[in-house]
Amino acid sequence: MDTRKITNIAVLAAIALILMILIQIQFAFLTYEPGDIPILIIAFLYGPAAAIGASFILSFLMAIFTGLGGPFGAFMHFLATGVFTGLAGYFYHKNHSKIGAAKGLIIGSLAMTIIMVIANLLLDPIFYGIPRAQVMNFLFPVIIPFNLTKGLLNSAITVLVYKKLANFLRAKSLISSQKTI
Amino acid sequence: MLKDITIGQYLARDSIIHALDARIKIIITTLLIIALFTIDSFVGFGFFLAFIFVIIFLAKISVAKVLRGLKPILILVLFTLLIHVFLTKGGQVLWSWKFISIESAGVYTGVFMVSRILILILFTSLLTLTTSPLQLTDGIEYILSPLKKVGVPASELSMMMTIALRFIPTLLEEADKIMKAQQARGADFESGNLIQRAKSLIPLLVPLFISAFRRADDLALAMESRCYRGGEGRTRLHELKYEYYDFIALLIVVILAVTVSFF
Repeated sequence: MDTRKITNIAVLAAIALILMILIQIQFAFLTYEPGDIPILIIAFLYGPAAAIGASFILSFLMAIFTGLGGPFGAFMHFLATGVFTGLAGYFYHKNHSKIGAAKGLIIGSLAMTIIMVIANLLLDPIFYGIPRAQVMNFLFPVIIPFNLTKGLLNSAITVLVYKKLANFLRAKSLISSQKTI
Repeated sequence: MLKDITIGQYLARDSIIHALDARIKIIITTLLIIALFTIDSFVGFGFFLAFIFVIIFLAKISVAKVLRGLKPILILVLFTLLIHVFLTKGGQVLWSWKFISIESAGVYTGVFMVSRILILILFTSLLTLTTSPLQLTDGIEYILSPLKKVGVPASELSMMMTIALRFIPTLLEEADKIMKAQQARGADFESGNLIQRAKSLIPLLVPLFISAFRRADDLALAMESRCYRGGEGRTRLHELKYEYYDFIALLIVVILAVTVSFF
């Protein structure tokens, strides 16, 4: 693996953790944080495998640094961010254009929401002893709107930030001069 | 704002718990967590709580420091407790008002689940309190290394974790500086609705990313000029080595885990 790729992914993962610590907006028992944005940028630069690796690094750092939600929280975070950024990176790398990016981000957000619904239904009864019927009651008022909003909001910010970074990244030849978003 | 954030939980001490091998400690913690989910009475929790106090004593850290690690999950714990107390039905009715009622099964399950979550978090925070982040990333590398065969770049992943750990304090300071600089220019990070607050992140994020990419570039150059060439055959300053007490610790935990699973 190219050394620059290693260091770039590492610093972006560090930024993701910092954003998670600095900016938290509470939403029922869930917390909005913009930690997915740097991981999405990794996904755009280096593709889905790097994004999933970075999600793993971020979840591990989160578990050992902040204790946020403990090992269960870290696992759920890995699942959510991994699916979201992995899909965004996959579709953007298949189709390097605005459309590819939009497709990836929207499909990623939807997939993250679906995965979180499944994961909450399967795992909450085991971890918190909350019966599945009760989890169902939280799907529509909390879990689904939260994940969709989080996904789409982080997507929108990522697009705006990536656009502003494009010239800089081109100068660093991290993206080729033809690629636009 | 910066000083409110405690980064990392590691407390350096000269103790037997700190001296244990990071890999063994990760395995032990995993074992204990699995055992925790086999327990279905408070007696088992009692065993674990006693065990936690023994570890805290051996590790020479104060109970208050350990308890502070529970703060981030307080909301989750309260939420779980309330759901069970109000929504789990069964047993005697303890209190009721119109359509709301609290029944004994709810209180029991609530307290049971909350105890389990708290013990789980205590185990993991004991791991991070007594093991330095660098040892942990080294440990993870060893544990992930069998996955190298299926193409998981374990050494690169742990290298990235190590670099990220190194840059968190630096970039946190940078983020704080950028926020203050943008606030001096009239940026507002604290108020407005969700969309406005999200938008206000852009003047923070763009300079932060650019600065991070520059640092990453410098670091890559420095690593390459010191002949870094990936994980294969890399030598270390601090090698992880198993000692006899690592196996004793593992044995004790296996016995404990098997014992509590009967309760």
